[in-house]
Amino acid sequence: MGANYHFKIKTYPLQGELFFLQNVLNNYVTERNYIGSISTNAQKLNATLGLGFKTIGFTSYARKQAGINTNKSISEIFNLIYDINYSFLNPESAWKLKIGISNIDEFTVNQATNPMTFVSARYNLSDKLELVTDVCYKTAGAFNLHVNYYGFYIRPGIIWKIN
Amino acid sequence: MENKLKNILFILLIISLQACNYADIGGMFIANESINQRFEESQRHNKDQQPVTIMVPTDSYKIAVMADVHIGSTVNFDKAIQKIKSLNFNALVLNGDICNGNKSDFERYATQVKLVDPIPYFPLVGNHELYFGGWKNYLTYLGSSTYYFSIKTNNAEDLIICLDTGSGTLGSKQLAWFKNLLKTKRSAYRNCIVFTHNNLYRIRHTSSTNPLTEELLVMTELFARYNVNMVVAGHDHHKNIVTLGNTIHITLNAMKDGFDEADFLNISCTNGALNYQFTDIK
Repeated sequence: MGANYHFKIKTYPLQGELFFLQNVLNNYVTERNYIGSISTNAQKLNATLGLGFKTIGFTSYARKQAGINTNKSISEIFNLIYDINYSFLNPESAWKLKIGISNIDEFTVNQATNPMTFVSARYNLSDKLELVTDVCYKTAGAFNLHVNYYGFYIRPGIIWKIN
Repeated sequence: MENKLKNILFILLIISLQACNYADIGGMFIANESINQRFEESQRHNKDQQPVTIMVPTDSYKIAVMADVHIGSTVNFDKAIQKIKSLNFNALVLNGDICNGNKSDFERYATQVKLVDPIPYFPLVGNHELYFGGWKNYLTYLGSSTYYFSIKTNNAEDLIICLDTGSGTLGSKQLAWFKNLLKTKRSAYRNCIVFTHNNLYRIRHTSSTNPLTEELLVMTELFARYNVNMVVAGHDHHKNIVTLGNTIHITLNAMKDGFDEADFLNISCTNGALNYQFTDIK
């Protein structure tokens, strides 16, 4: 769930965003992310920088199953959120194609030291509807850990913007 | 001209980092061997021997754990071993980054670790052992990177699982092995302790890399579902203790030379109750 706000600093367009993401694994483990970020809104090269806050805990079902009465969740330290991407096509076009590197997408928030590489193709059906196909390549290990292939996904979808 | 000079200096820096014994730049792009490969080689190594069971005459035992020794030099390592031997521990776990990946480091380890005898010792692989093609040396000098052993008292038996997280992931095969081990064997044991070099939760600001969030959630579920009592990690070099559910997660200080806060963990079990404290090597 997210909300964004477009503004300018002098003449430079920016976008502020607040984003909340909850994942539940097997009705057992809950992950909650609270993120605030600022993005540039340029035609080709864009960047997002922000801070995220993550808690990991157990569902009530898990607590009952595992007999967990205390220490139901922990909070990780503030996490740097980033996204650097480059758009290839004309910004006036209904088609958008970009490539980038980020530690976050609509369903995942990784730690800052675990970037993902992605290619994103989008088509504006209307002002409110956008067709999306994202391809993302993930590695385990980065920087001081040897890099191993982890996985990739291809994600088609529709984005509905509520203005 | 200025830009050219900056580019040259940058390239020289990268080359010099590669030439030093500490940074393996190539590994930032692709590992020399995958975690699945290491797991398979470890399992082939394990096939020749049964899991170790340490017999203890009373319902009380102690395990010493140290991490991030980074041999090289062994001043702290030698001090720690002397202290561990004087305190009559039943086992020693070397929780990864024991060596820095160079063959000479492994040879040095092989000589110094004999001082631990007769205390049985159990090494795990860390990220630094994999540098500079170090996995082959690890397999030769330290053995398997994924295995389990147990400690049997006059009352019960406790399960100790050693995992390879040197690349920041368990990999599909090791994860399947770990799940199966917990599912089929956990209930036969009283306590369960898991050792992993790579610490899991990011509790302090650090540049260390940790497992991906989705894998972290899977491991969190397994620890809760199968009542893992304690998870002990290294990697971060700084002590940290956090409890999630019924599992205590302990991250160790580094044991490497020059580190002021070098100490080792003393896990004690008395009548089934697990406790821990940190023991200084000074």
